[in-house]
Amino acid sequence: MNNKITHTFFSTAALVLAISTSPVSAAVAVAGSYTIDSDHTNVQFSVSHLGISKLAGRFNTVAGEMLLNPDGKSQLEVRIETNSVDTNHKKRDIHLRSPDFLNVKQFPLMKFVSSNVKYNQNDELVSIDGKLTLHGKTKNVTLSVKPVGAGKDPWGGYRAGYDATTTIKRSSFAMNFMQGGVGDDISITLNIEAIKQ
Amino acid sequence: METLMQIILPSAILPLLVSFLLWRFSLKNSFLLWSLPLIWLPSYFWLIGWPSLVPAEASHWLWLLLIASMIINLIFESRLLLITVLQTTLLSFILIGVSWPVFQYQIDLKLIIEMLVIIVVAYIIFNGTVKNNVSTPALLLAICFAGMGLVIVLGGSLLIGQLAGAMASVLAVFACWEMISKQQPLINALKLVPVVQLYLVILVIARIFVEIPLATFILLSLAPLANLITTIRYALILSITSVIAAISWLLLSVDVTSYY
Repeated sequence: MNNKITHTFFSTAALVLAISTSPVSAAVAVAGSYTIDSDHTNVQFSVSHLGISKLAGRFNTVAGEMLLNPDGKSQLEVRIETNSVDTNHKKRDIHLRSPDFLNVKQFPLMKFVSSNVKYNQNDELVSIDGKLTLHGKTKNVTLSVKPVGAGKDPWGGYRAGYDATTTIKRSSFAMNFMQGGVGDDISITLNIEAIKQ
Repeated sequence: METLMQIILPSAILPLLVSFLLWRFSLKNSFLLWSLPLIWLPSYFWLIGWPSLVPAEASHWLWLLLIASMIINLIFESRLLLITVLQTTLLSFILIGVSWPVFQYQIDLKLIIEMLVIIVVAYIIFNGTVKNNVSTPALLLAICFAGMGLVIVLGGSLLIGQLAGAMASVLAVFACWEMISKQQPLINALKLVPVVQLYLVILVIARIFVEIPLATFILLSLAPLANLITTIRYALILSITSVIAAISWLLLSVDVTSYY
């Protein structure tokens, strides 16, 4: 009997907690200034290996700010520490950090700064044009953006999440080493979670 | 297979081929030996691409270094003290250029000391080889470059390792000739000063950007000094020992599991 009461209590408590902490899954985030939550944001990339498979990796240290305002000025800046590259293979990561590819000693930061943020008719973020600085070169890049969700978090804050994707050519950023073995096209996905300030 | 050829062609086959042609023609026209450092350049441009005049990365300084060093030698051929001073000054400038991208973020006293050690080593080599006309056999330098190339590849940079390997291949033809003919080195010391410059700068690049261990760096920097303190035969033994010790230290101190 006691077990049944305990079970019912915990089931109800879990349900209440789940409801109270579930973010509002609205795709349109509230306008305002946001800071990228480094703990819940990641940058993933994939590149062809020998033309027969895709190799995936990520950058673990990401920071940045976002200003959302469909009726006015919107902007995004993302800073990625190149030294945080992680492909789940220590030796390969050392090679990627070397002058053969990222040359992290000389170019410790990869940066994206928006120049034009576009919304659709429903005020949903759809794409961001901007400049990507990587390996000492700055090139125009367009991020295709898909809103994931937005709403209150359990700590009283407000968060918004986006998936942003783009494809760059590493040769455009003067990374030409081993073009045959390592593909030129690099697909990049930013899984962004930002906290409203 | 294609990828493998991309590695072997610029770092072994091409430099060996061009070097063989130079050796063949230089037997009758020894003045052609002045161009020895230049025949490394096709491999360099193959690997790096055509760099801009203003170097954007450390490896972009190498062709400028090589050409400037050769020009100093050609212009001041008979003024040996001036050559030593100018070559050392050139090396100092290049090292500042190579290390500037790191120093702009953080002044590293340890790195400054390491570069000063390289400049002192360079001065001793230039002064010793140029002034006393000490023979620097191609074999000794080929061993140094091959050892350094192996260290850099194991340390994590295939590209920089290939650059060193290409010069080892260039020198290998002349090294073989020295071993087979058992004659005095075909190339005099002065002609090899630009090659020594290249060796020292690639070593510094490996230390800064590939982060080879300090002990490995010191052992490799001392390896070309051997022929200044003893006869060629013992110098070769000393250099080989130094290079083997450098490689061994690397094998003991870092994970060298190959994945390439």
